Amino acid sequence: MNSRILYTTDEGTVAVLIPTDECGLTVEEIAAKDVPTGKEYKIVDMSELSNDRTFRDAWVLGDKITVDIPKAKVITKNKLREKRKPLLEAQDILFMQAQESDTDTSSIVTEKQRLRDITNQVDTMTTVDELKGATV
Amino acid sequence: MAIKINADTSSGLKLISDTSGVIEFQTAGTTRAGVNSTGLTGNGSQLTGIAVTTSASDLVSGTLPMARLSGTLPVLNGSALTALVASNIASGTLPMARLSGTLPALNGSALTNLPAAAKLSTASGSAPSYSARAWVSFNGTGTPSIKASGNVSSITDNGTGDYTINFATAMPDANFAAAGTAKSSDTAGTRMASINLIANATATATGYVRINIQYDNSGTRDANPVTLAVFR
Repeated sequence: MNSRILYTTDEGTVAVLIPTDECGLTVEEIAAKDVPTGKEYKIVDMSELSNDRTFRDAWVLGDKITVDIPKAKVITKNKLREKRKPLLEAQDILFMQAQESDTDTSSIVTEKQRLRDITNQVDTMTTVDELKGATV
Repeated sequence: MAIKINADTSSGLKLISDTSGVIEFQTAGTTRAGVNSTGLTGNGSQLTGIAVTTSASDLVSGTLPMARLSGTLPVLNGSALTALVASNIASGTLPMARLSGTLPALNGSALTNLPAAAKLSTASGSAPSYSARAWVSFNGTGTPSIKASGNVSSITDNGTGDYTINFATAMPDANFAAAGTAKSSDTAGTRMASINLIANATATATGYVRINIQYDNSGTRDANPVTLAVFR
């Protein structure tokens, strides 16, 4: 079944309901059964949906699905933090090794600070493409 | 012409003779019986007490009235009987040897007293079998889609790695068990995907089960495939 049923959840995100073919119900019957009571919904063809789920949790349902930029910024920062974590841990090891060998740690300190500030780049971004380009 | 022997009511015996070879017996000039070259002639309706020795094979036409037939069939070979009506069978039991080894194509909806199957015929041992009451395999990445399912009307993509599986026919209660797997899209293979019931009161209801997927201890993640089976 190529139809999709869209509605906004209580959390403010977009729910995409994917009907099965095997149950023998029409898409309208499935919407009546599986969309939470009282929720407004719309039925669209799956081709109208993006398969880019980078900012899936920032989707907002209007006439069509758009990305909420403030939410997308939070998602982007979290992804950067996740990627940063092993890099910071690696720098911590290098820092301790440098201290043990009494060698210069300034470059390590600089890199650790760069990683700590890595999420700052997101604050000035205003488009989805900019956010997708954010890197560690 | 015929030789006539007439018992005349006024003259007594009167004879008329010729060479026809036929003889007639008369009373008052009326022929009552006779004999010709083939046998007896005349109306035999007044004859009584005559022993019939004629063979039944001589019956060549007409229909025997039902009253002339016995109420009990003789011991005959019935192999040539046709147009028999099965609905006239009113008693007795068909021996098993007369039943086909293959069941006919019948509607079995009215069968009763069927024994309950405690386990699948393929299961060994005596432990009972419990089959899945619903199952699904779906792709949760890209544009999510259902690969195959049973007793599932839809899945709801609630967000990244967050899905609700809606049952076509509800479970008898919410105390069902759900078992599933999810394949991590981490191509390095260093992170395993786990499938969890969401951590709030709406994780299960008779009509659905809501799950999320995580890689190690990270946040929720999309996965492909995601499989789930429900038992009750």
